[in-house]
Amino acid sequence: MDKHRSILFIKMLSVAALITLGVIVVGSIKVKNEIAPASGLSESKIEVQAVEEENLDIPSPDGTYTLALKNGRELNGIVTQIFFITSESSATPIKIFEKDSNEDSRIVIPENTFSPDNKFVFLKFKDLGKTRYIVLRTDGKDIKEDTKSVEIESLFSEAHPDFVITDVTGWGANGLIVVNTDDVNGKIGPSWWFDLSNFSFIRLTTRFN
Amino acid sequence: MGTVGTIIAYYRFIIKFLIRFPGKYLLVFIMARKKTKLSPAVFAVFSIAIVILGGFLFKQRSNQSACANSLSCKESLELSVNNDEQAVFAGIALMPPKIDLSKDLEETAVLGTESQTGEKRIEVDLSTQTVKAYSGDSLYMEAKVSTGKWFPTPTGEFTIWRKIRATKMSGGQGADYYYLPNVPYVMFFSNAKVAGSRGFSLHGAYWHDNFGHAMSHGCVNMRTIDAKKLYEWADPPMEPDQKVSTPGESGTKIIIYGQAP
Repeated sequence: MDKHRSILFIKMLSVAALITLGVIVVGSIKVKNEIAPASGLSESKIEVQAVEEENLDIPSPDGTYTLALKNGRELNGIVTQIFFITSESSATPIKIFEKDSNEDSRIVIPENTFSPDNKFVFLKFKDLGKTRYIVLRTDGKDIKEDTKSVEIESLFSEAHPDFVITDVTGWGANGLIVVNTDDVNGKIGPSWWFDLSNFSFIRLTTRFN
Repeated sequence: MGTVGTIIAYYRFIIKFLIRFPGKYLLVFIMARKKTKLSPAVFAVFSIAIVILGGFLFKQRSNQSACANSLSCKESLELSVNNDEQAVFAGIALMPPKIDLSKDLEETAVLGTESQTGEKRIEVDLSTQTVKAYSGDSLYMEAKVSTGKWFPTPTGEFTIWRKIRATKMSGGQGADYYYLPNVPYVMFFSNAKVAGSRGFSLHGAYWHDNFGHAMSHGCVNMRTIDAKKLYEWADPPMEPDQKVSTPGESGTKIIIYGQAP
């Protein structure tokens, strides 16, 4: 009987040792993930969105298209912003959008402005305290019946009043724009696809932080 | 087999037993408790700890052996250009950008000048979703990337062991299924812990434009123009007409750190 107990005791000790080992392994992995290399070089965030310049050219991810912004001369605080598309296949720039903006409502070009197939771009601006996002076709044609652009924020707030848009980060796929939201109480909400095939929002189970 | 293997084998046995004799779950636990002579509370805590440890070890093991592209594991390591094949991503069919290898030759012959000196290294910061390439202390390029969302990008120090101009990648299942021919400018990396055969790489991504945000199955996605620039700069060096790097040639060091948001 004593021998059995001793064996049991040894087994228990072994299992306890394994659990301890497991905890150590988990701990070491977490620590490893947090270690940055000792490069001594400071990190700097990319801020491509700084579009305060007079002219700005943003290439598409494959380099075949360019979105060009020409800020006109400022008059009484108003600047005419004109957006052109140039491509490898066409030498003539296509004017896709024009807007008179004051300093608070200046349009900026987001980092991931081009759709993966280069058929659309989206732009960002402030209007009455809200950040708005508009989508345009790169061939200059109407995106919707008799409309050159669609505005994401107003469509979203009308369809889903329980959530507010916190960011529009880019394109999840052709025709699908990634929209991040919080609920109206400020709690982190879901991500959505803004689907350009029918201008609707698809709620996602995963969030694209 | 090692300690981890032994423990996994032990859990496999327990699980098989429980599946074969489902009615005896409770009986097994009661018998085990009696044998160990532990109080019910201590035994319960003990059992939960064992189950958690088992789950953790299983997860670790599966992470260590899985390929970045689960359906095209070995195939992705080879050169592949399929200009007429349709790609699928996020449930949407799309045509991949056509690749003309002969046109590549003209472009590469014109490029290829590099004046910076010093040891090359590439740093990928998962927390900022950024890649930086250095020659010594000089920054060669910096770009936004998309790292693992559905499967983590491994961290640590790696070496590029193979460069391929283009390949095919496929994996996932259900809504997460993807099939991507003509993935451009692929730089596979590995180290002693993460085998090259698992297919982790930096490469161009033509199917999304959400860089700066985790979007991949473990690889490091880059804009095609950024991937091209890095591919042409990084070692192992390649001749203009070479589409796959020479086996055995050592490549640029890659350091991956941080945690994806």
